[in-house]
Amino acid sequence: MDFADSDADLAFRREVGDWLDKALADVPDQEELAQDEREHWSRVWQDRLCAGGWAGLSWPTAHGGRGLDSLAQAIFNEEAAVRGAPYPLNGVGMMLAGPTIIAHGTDEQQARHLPGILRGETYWCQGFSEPGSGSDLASLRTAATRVDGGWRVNGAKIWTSNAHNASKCLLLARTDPDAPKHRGITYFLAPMDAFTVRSLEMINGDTEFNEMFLDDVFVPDSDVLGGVGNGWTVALTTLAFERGSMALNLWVWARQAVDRVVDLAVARGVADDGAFLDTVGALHCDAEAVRIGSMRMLGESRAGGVPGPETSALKSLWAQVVQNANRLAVQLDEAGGVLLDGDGAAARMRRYLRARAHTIEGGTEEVQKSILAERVLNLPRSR
Amino acid sequence: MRATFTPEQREIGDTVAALAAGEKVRARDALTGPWRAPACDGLLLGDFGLLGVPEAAGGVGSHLIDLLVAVEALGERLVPSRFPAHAAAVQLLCGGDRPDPLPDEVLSGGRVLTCAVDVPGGSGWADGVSPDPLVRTLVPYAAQADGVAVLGPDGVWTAEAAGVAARDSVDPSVPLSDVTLAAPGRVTPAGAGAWRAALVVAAELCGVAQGAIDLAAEQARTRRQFGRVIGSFQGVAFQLAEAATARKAAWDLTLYAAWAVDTGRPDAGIQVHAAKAAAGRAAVFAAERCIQVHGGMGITMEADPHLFLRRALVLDARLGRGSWHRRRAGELRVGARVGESPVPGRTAAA
Repeated sequence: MDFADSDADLAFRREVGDWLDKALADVPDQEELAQDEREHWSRVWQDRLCAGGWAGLSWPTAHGGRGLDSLAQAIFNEEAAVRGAPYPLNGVGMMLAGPTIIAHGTDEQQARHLPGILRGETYWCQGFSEPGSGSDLASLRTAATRVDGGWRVNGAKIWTSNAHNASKCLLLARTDPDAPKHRGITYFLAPMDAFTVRSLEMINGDTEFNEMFLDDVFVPDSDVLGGVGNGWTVALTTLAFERGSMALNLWVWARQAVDRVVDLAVARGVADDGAFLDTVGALHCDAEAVRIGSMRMLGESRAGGVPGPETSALKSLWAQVVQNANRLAVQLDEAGGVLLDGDGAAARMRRYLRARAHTIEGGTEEVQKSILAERVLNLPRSR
Repeated sequence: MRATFTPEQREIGDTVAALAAGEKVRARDALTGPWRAPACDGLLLGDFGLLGVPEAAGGVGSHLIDLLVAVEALGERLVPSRFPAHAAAVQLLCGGDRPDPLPDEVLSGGRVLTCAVDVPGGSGWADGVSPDPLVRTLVPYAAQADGVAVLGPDGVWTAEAAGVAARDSVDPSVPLSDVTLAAPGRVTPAGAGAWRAALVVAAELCGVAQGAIDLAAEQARTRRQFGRVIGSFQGVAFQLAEAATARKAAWDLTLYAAWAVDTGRPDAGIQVHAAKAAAGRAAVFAAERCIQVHGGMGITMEADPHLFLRRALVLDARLGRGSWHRRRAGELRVGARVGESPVPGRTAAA
């Protein structure tokens, strides 16, 4: 077992690092910014990625990409995260929509949709989740009915990141109400002109998610991806790309959360306290386990394996370490973090509150444990 | 990145697992009689003795991970073999830049060593001021070994025990003793020796955690209550999912730490501390969950879960208690962040 980069990986990592260092020179620390400023820099960053040819890293060259494997994309994301780069405003387009369209789209769809992503002209969002469906994605009720030349869609979506900036949507809708719930679903590449988008204010004051309402929205036949009724299979492709592209970001975010709490404790003069050291030791174990587990997952993928249910253990560990580090940080603040006018206190509380989402988004903690129980431990289904 | 097991490592794991599965002498036997060597003891000491031994120490240059894969497989079935203790002793002796080549009789298993690192009253490995610098505690199989590999503040050495005082081990399949040593003759720098030895224990702990999880999952799949198998209750299933997560984290940390030590990475030390701490926690947690899942039978001597807990507790205490390693990881993490170690020179290989 060898955890070192191969020569090719190392060369790529250096190339990426050199470019990132230059491209990030004027970009401020995102952690210190207000939300609208962060969104501004996400847009700037997206433009720079497209201009620099870093969009579509793992897309085939025939589609204008760089033809690298998913590990290369993960390395790029890792190096960017280590440097505190903004999150690109069209991450969904570059890392989810593009690869899914390449995997399942017709020539016509590929020609129509892919260049706009690479040029930074079209932004995408992921219309999977629905109010009421929660973790049970396949229970979605948004319905598409046949009309002349296409489909008429009615329903609502929720938790849609970046919908307020997007013009295209990876949309799941039920096209056969009588089929078993995983079968009657169709995947659309829907234009969002007729969607109503409403931002949701989160418990930390940010508005990163949206609700979307579809009232008699027309989607043409040419925007069905992967065939009518085949939407669940296509959606699994998107979810697999999501896991792969995030793999090496997770550990970086975990380590940064631990770094911040250590820096704070040092500044407060409490870093040599025994209980604090014990906690940091435990946080270090979990954060490193996320990093090493991600490397093993990517190594297995490159060797031809498929990421297994163990990825649920990684997601779970990551969520815990980030939540625990952010909780500890507010606890070190004046009055346990409840006075937001202290230096940096509001930002720490914002991060702590944001981290509560980590055991909910991307599959709740309970779903991850059920996956482990059923697919790793071979226990019977409990639902 | 090729963070996958080699075919050889998979083969080692399979071979040792098969040996362990066929072994007739079990950990349970030591509850009612004196420890006796399992049949596979000699085979392991002989055939697998070169695993993980660097060429400079007389080995064939195999990787530390090769050894850990073998030890993990023994831990899963609680095989009461002297091999892990002997292997830890060998690793303790061969971690320096210029280790003395180990005698052939040690590498061939003809002379069985054990590993003496923990200082009585201390919580780490020969780290503090000992009331008597020539006494070590938690020495396994001391009466059944031909020699002792010792860690002291100045390095490592091999000795014969001048005195062996048997202690009452919570896991009788791992007899523990206090060992008194004569003043050392030739001492060589420990280098990464203590780290390498600690990883042998961490690997066995990961195996123990896996064995406890397997036993608990089997119970959860078959035991019925309220008309359903108990594994269908989330209150049961989630405990085991947490144990599986902790075990995976510990095994990943252990494998990475071994690679970091073998390749001389600068972060090797903190990775070893993290691995040993995480492995101890994972094994104790898994064994405790295993007892819980077994319900009433789980708290009797007749069922096996307590055997896993006993082994987990003993291994967690050896070569630096888990809590001590966790504290060290925290100290090093904070130290790295402020640019200097807050307590320099505390680790054996610092």
